[in-house]
Amino acid sequence: MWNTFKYTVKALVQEKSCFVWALAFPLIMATLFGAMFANLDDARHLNPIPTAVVDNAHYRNAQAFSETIEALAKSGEDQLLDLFFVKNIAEADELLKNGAVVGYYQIDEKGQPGLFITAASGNSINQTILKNLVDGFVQTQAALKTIAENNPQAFADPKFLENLQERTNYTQEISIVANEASGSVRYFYALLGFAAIMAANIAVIAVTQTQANLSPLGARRSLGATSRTKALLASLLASWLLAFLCLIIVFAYMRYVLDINFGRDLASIFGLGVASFMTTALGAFVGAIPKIGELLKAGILTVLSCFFALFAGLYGEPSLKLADDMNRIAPLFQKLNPSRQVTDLFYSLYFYDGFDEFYRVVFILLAMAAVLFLLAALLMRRQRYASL
Amino acid sequence: MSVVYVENLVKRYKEVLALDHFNLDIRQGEVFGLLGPNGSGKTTAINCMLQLLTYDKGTIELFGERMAPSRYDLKGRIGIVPQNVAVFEELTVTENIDYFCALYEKDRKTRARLVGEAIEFVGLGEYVRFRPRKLSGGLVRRLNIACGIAHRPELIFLDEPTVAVDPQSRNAILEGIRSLNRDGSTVVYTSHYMEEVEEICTRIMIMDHGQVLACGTNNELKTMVGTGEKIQVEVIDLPDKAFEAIKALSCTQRAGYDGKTLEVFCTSGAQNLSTVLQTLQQEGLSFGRVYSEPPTLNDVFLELTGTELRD
Repeated sequence: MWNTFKYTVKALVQEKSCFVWALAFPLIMATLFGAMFANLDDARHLNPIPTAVVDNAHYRNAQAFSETIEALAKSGEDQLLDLFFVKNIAEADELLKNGAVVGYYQIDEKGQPGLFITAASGNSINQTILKNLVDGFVQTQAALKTIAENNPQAFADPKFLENLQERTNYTQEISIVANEASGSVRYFYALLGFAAIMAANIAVIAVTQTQANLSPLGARRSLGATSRTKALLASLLASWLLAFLCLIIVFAYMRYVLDINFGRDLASIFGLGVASFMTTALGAFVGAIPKIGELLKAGILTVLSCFFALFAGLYGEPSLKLADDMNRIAPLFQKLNPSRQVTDLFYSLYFYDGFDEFYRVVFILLAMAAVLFLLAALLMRRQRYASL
Repeated sequence: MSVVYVENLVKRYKEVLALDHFNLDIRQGEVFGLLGPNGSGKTTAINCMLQLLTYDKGTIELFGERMAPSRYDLKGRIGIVPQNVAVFEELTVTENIDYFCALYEKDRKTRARLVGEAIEFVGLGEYVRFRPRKLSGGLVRRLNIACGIAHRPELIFLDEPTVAVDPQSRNAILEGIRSLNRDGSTVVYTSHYMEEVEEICTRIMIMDHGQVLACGTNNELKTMVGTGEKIQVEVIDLPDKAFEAIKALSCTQRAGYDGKTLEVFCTSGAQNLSTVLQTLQQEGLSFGRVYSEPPTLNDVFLELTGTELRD
């Protein structure tokens, strides 16, 4: 049995067709995704906004404003602004024109701050932030002026002054998921789901080469003095190992080269073991179908992979929406979708604190594997054939 | 002792009767030739004996015991060299032989020795690290044989092992088969090459349409058919009248003329050649070279199975 295992691994490793789809293709796709979604994640992360300030006498006199924006430009996690101090408007205009800054602040002779932007000077979110900042400052300043004019004794109350300095936030931000939501991880998880189904090709080839009715090599192997069950078991173990290695390589590439967060790495690797077990069962079943050639079987698997991946959200926003809609409309279909279930393995580790959801998906994948192995066994149970 | 015993084997492929009460008895130490046109049932018979194919009726015994798919003890005593080359394209010569040998022999040391002997036996010593796709057709055939015989089986089925190989490789293969037989293996050999079968087989069976047509030694088969002598005469422009006269001779079984050579198949008799030549002279014909020879196995085969083309 060890010999069969060893030589099956050796033979399968050299089957280029297996690894094009189960390894090379997912690696290429992951690289493309990495390039595409780098900007998407950048957009979600707030970088300090490059802003120019006309550093003249008016600015130095407007102490409240200068202190406010300089506080916002202090380096650290909360840094909102990246300030460029210039001597005059001409220099600020130059920076704005060059695109070096999103906008610039200038204090007029009345001590009022103003924001200068152009349509081409940066994205609208950053411009809005700069505008809100100056609006908030002007409104607070106006409120204080009104209070000072109408109720100056209020400033004598220390509690009033304390409240004035305090910004009350009436909403509390809490996270209901284990990790910060990322727009791109879903695509990588769906890609692993796709790769898992494609890895079934390895088992298809392994099974085809053991069955007398599927290949001359299978016929010859069936005539040996080693029991067919043992030979088949060794071949399936070899397929499982190779499918697992393919998925591990894709996973490691995503995790350590593309820096994709999988929540919990060890559990992810265990999940890949389960996914590759299920995919080996799928390959055993497709491989055992009689009277159709290896090429057609590979074609069937490619079609299945693409079809299932559609409902796992691999093909962009519309596909993600479709996957979510299908979860609501046809949850049973999604539970039977192996690609979706492999994708869900990683969701469960990424978004959930505990392991309950992860174990649920693992159970579904193992149940799928059991059914597929049973069907494969029914097809392969014959030891003699009516024709070859 | 019978090594292979088959009685009344019937196998149908839907409407086609592939084996029609087929009987076979091969004794220990024989090189048994199984001959038949394409589709005559040779490979089907072998696959039934090896329990790859189901059959409708009949008894199959190997080494005196009833054969069944799970008789791994009996399978362990058999070697198979299939008609189609069946080796791993991705493994080297040594790895392929080791893989198939391991299906029979578990001990690593013994296996290493057997693999080495098999490589030497088929003369693949220079190619041990080659993969099949790098080998010529003849070398791949030799590898195919090595994979089937490395475990030193007592009974070897060789199904057309010399198809598409050059004369040198063919000679090496035939010599190898003789050597295996000398070492004690019983060989069942199928081929379309009559001269090979004539050369190496101790007993020959000719079958067609799933039935046994004849079985015996080479000489016994030649005696079974009526042909005693085949006469070939070079004649230019043989008139129809002369050809009819030859066909009308009492010793003539059948005759043919291709524009250059007259071929006459005669019954056994001492005067056949002189009778044919006298007839030609009486017709005023001159002739060139003359050949007379006993019938070959090929003649026997064609007489038994007919001369019409098969698929």
